Amino acid sequence: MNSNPETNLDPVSDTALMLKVKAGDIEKLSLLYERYSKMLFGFFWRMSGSVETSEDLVQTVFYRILKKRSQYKGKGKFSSWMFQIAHNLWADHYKKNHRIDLKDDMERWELKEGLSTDEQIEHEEQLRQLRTALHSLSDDKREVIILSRYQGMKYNEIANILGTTEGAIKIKVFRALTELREQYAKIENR
Amino acid sequence: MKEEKYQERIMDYLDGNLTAKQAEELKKALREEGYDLSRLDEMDEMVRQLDEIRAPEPREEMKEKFFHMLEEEKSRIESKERSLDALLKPFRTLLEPVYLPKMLYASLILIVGMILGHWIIPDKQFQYQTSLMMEEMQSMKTLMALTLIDQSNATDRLKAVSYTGELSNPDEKVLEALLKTLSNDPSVNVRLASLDALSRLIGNETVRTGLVESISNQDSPLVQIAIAELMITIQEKRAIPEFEKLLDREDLNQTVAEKITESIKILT
Repeated sequence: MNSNPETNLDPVSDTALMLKVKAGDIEKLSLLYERYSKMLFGFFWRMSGSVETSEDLVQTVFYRILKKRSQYKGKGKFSSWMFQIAHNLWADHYKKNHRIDLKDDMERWELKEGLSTDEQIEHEEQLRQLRTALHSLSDDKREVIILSRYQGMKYNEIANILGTTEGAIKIKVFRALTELREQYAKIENR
Repeated sequence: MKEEKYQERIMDYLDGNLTAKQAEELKKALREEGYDLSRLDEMDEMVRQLDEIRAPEPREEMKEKFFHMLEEEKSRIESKERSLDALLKPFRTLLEPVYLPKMLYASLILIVGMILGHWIIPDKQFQYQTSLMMEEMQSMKTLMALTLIDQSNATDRLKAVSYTGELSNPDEKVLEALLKTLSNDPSVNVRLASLDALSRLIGNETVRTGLVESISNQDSPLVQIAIAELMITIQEKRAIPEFEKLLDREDLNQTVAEKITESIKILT
């Protein structure tokens, strides 16, 4: 599983901050925003393919956190609670819009060291195709891949967010990756 | 392909959670199941490529919007607190150090007053309801007594007399009925019962006069002796002329005559 440095945060500290927000010190939410806004943006961007949509959805997640602060119990990781809000928000958004937009960030690929210009172009093309294949998957399959590969979440955390078991999530990720490989192969061979 | 049973193990491999030995064992097992290992390598390569898809940076506007939202929420909370503060201001004044001892003293007096009031004065409503109920029961028993006392059956008349004993303050009608029964009832037992009932009401002048007047109407030795004893007990001197009239009767029982004579001596 990908170990994202963005996720190496102290969950106790997150909980303490959120409990302060709940107690009325809402200024502390800005610290949680600094910690998690990029991670949430990454999640929504990988799900939606749109920078604008992702920014709006990040804003909505923090708005909901602010409004639902009295419901926060302080049990479990703050990030799991936050991603549960993000997951529900995305589900609502997808139900209403059902549209993925992949066109606005094609120039953002990072350069890979040690590759010639041609190789770099080919590499970028592969990543573009892989991303297209990722977006050809159903919403729930794409989500488990994103949560496990990019958000650095353990399978039990994902299971907690999606309301299922760790074993079921592991198998779901495997099947999603298998389908992704098939879709990727189809796009490569076009 | 029977890769189903190896799905979780393959995920461990792709996540890099297997040792070199465990990875070899997995590959060997998959090979034996007829699984094309190049598919595993392709998936491994694809997973590494997935990790290379980096998300872009969000625009600065996103952060600005967040802080704007936070400021709005803070203003909303502050404004809510200010209105609550304005609402509670008069009460807060009362809690200032100057007024606090007076407030506490007044509260203490109020509480003590309430406790004493509750303790000393019973619930008026309850008292009223109880007295109303008692009155209703009294009038019901009076009605029963007056109805039964005219019945032909002696047992009913005895019951009527017994009801009058339960009345705390029998009215004139009941007293008249008891005196009439004492003088005229054909049953000795009923007459004795009414005498017993009247003996509890000797504080009433009507009863005392009625008892004296009834002496000459009695023909039962038992009743005559009982009345004589009662007159001695209440020291009713007005009974003497009535006793003398009885002594003049030729049919008077000898024992009664002795009792009456003795009574006249005591009362004289």
